[in-house]
Parts: sequence; structure tokens; C-alpha cells
Amino acid sequence: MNRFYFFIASIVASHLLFGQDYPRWFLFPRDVGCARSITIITQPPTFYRDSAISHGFRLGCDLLARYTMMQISGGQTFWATEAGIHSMGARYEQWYDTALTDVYQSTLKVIDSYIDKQKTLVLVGDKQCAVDDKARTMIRLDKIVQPRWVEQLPEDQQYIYAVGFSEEFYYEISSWQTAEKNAYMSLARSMHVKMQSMQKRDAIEAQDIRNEEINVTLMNVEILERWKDTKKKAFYTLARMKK
Amino acid sequence: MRTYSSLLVAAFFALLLIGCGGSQPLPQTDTGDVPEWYANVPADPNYLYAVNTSTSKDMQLAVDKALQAARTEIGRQVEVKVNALQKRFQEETGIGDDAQLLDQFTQASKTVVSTSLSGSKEKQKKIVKDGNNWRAYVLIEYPLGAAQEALREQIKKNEQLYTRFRASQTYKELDDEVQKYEDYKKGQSATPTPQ
Repeated sequence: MNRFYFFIASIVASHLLFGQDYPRWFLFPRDVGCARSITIITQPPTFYRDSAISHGFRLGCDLLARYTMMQISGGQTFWATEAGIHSMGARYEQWYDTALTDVYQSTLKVIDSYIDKQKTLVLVGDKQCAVDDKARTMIRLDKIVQPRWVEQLPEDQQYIYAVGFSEEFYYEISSWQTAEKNAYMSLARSMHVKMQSMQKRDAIEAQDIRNEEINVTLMNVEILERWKDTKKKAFYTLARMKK
Repeated sequence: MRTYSSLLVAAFFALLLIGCGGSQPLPQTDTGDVPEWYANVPADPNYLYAVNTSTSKDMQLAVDKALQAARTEIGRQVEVKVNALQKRFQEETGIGDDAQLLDQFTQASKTVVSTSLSGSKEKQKKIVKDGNNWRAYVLIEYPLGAAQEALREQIKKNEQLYTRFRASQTYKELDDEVQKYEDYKKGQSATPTPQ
């Protein structure tokens, strides 16, 4: 019986102790200083360390191709009633030039990587690019105070900013990836959104069917910062794009 | 066998007693986290503002619901502004009796309201835990000039309507406002990014 409790305790301890340290370049990608770079979080290696990094490199090139130019179209509908707001469904499609992925695979390289039991982090950038020791510093997530951009977007005349959110999933990787995806979707909505609404009201109840549609092209999206609220277990990503 | 039957009966009564135990206390809400800007919505003659709050077990869905409702509210505010402008047009030009022109104008107005919001900005956002749910508070900002510009472009598309309104004072005022907005946009793109 003691062995069982020890087993459970070791699982809990491994979750608490590991996965909370990140290299600075992952949390603050804007400070990397390369002309072109991207940070990727992916699964930890199952057997070969190198295969996880090369997988991360391929993912990074693919994501960078999306961020260079990506068309997003689709929409979502909500039905607001006295009982609450219900999602009626959402459907979005993304198009990007996959040929760019191949171009990036031949012109970019892995600048740095970090592996622990929870994740593989890969920094991909130009061949001339290099990071210093400061960028490689490991940071504990609970040591970072809440950045201002979490609640108030930066005021900038040349860029549109957006923040993506995610709650905590079992795999922390999924949370970071979801926050990043939500950040560029939020950018798309800030650019141009078509709103439609139909309100109905009678003596008994009121309801509102709201629909939004987007069809925009995002260009040169940049991920600037990431932050985890360790108390609320929420993940945040700040993205921007030129107006 | 008798032991199992006794256990089953005991379990049944236990469940019955739990069911009669009264309702659970409601999960505590982070009411202290209601942002100040939610209660005191900013006011600016050049911008439209809308706030909304929504909950969901899914964090992003809570944000999406709140944002969409706030943007819909902005759409309604634009509609009110456009309707007021339409009324002024009617009074000034006397198109109230011209059903065809009135219909064309109404179509133009409706298109503006339901077409698009370009540059609506998520000015403020706050997410808090509300019991087992996530609650999102949002504040959306929309430049009024963008709506006026859209209306002017719609009017320009219709030659008959444009010819009738071009000489009116209301149209001149609309045009001036749009010009100010365009100058403001040009000024923004010319200013270097603060470091």
C-alpha cells in the first residue's frame, strides 16, 4: 500500500517540479533579435532526442509559413436566450503557401533547443542568427509578474495587437498551442469582422441570434510574449501584425 | 447473498439521505474582480464603446461570447447614429415623400450596420474564475469615423442618391468628419513606432 502512495506522490511531485522552467527565448520571443525566428513547443522525445528537435524544426518552418501569409475565413454563431448564451457552432478554414515551408526548411536552422520530461522547445531562425546566454536563462513561470498586456493591449500606431488565452489542459503543450492559435484568431477579428444579429422579443422572453464572419489575410504575424498565470492556471500569448 | 442485499438497501437509503441533504452552497464568485472600466464605460465623441461579460467552462468560448456580444452592441450603436443621420437627410432634402430614394438610403444604412466592423479594438479584457466557469469581461472600442466612412462610400455607390445628397449640409458635415478620420489615419501611419 505504501508503494502505491509513493507512486501517486511521485507523479504529483513530477508534475509540480518539472515543466515550470522555460528558457527566456520561449517566454520573450521578441527579445531574440533575429530577422526571422519562431519558437515552437512540442512533445518530449520518446526515444531519440534529435528526432524531437528535428520534428520541432519542421513544425516551426510550417508555422512560420502560416505566419508569413495566411488567409482565414469562416465564422461562428451564438444564440443568446434568458437561459444563457449557447454556441451554435463555429467553422474556420486556413489557407497558406506550403511551398514556403520547404523554403524555410532550407534557409533556416535550429538556433537553440530545450528538452525536459514535459516538452521540447525549439528556437528556429536565420542561419546567421545566434542567441546569447541571457536569452538562454531559465525562468520559473511563477517568478514572472502579470504583464500589463494581459488586460490592456499595447497602444501602437503601426501594429494591431491581440492576446490569446487558454485554460490549463493535461498537457501544458496543448495550452500554449491553444493560446497561440487564439491570439492570431483574435488578430483576424480585430482586422475585419462582419457582424449580424437578429433580436426577437415578446411578452415572455427575449432572444438574440448573433453571427460573425471573417475573411481576412494575416501577414507577418509575430508572437511577442507568453505568460502563465500560475494561480488561475491560465495561459496567455501576445501577438501582433502590421496595420 | 443476504449480506449483499443488506448492503444494497443501506446504499439506497444513504443515497436518499444525501439527496435530501439540501442544495450545495453556490460556488463563490470573484465579484471583487469586476473591472472598473466595466462599471464606468469610457465616453469619447470620436469612439463608440461597448462592454460585455460572459461565462463558459471553456475559457476562449467565454471570451468569444463576450466579444461577439460587445461587437453586436457596437453595430447597434452605429445603427442609431446612421438612423439619426438619415433623419437629418430626410428633413433637409425632403426625400420623405420619395419612397424610392428613401428605400435606397435605408438599404445603404442597413448595409453599413450589417456589413462590417473594420478596426474594432479589444481595448480591455479581463478573465476571472467564476465558480467552475471562466468569466470574461471585455471592452470594445470602435472609431466613429470608420462607420461614417463606410456610410459615405455606400452613398457614393448609388449615383442617384449621391447626386441628391451631395449638395446637402448634412452630407458636407459627414464628408468633413470622414476627411478628419482619414487625416487621423494618415497621421497614425506616418508616426514611428514607440520603442
